[in-house]
Amino acid sequence: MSSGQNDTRPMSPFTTIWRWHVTMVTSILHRLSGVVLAAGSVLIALWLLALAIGEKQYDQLMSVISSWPGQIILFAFTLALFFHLLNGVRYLLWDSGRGFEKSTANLTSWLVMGMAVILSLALWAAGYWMLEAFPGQSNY
Amino acid sequence: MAKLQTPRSKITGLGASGHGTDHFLVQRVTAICLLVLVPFVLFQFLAAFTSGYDAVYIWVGSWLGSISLLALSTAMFWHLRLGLQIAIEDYFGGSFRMFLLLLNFLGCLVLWLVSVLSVLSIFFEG
Repeated sequence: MSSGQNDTRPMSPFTTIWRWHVTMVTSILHRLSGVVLAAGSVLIALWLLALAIGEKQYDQLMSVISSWPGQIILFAFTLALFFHLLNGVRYLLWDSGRGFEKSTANLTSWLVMGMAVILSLALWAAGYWMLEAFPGQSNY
Repeated sequence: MAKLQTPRSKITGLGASGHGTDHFLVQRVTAICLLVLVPFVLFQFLAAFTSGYDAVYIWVGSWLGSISLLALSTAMFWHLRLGLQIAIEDYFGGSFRMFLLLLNFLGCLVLWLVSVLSVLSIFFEG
């Protein structure tokens, strides 16, 4: 870090002067999705709490979640979850010393982003299919 | 007095003070746990959620449901606390950083306790 305004030494490069590349995007998205999932974890705790308290509270929470804005937010959480999960595998592979080749790192970046979208859509398709096939006794 | 200190003793106890590798390792260990637990719980949730309150209650109260949800929330909130801690340390400084770090620690602790108590109460009631 520079020590003052008159310090002419170069600063550490940041997003404003870097050409965007895909490994940079996945690195930023990993942190962003992690913070998003921190918010999502509050929902998991609330969901378990509502389930423990009673049917009325649980149904209230589920009707909020299954509203259109609720479903959009939940889908964003799903995307963040699958991205963070898959990109986390890249970190574990890097820890073992593998996958540092520039071409490999670029390829796995694209792969992880694509797979996150595909898995999210697949999970939601499965969820909607389950609702069709097994409507159950609730109205959400 | 300070002049009698060795350079080594000036820095001993500062920085990560011996916990740096713990943070790194626990972050990885919980990551591997979550890699297994998240798909496992998602799969069970998908099978139960359409059938409404009673079916979900029975799933969470079952041995398999309870244990996987307790393991999930423990690994998840631990992993979350470590990850958010790094993000806070990167972007904030001074006393506001200390405030956020404390909030992060206590928030994760409370959410973990809420999750665990909810699951346990369902397990022992159901």
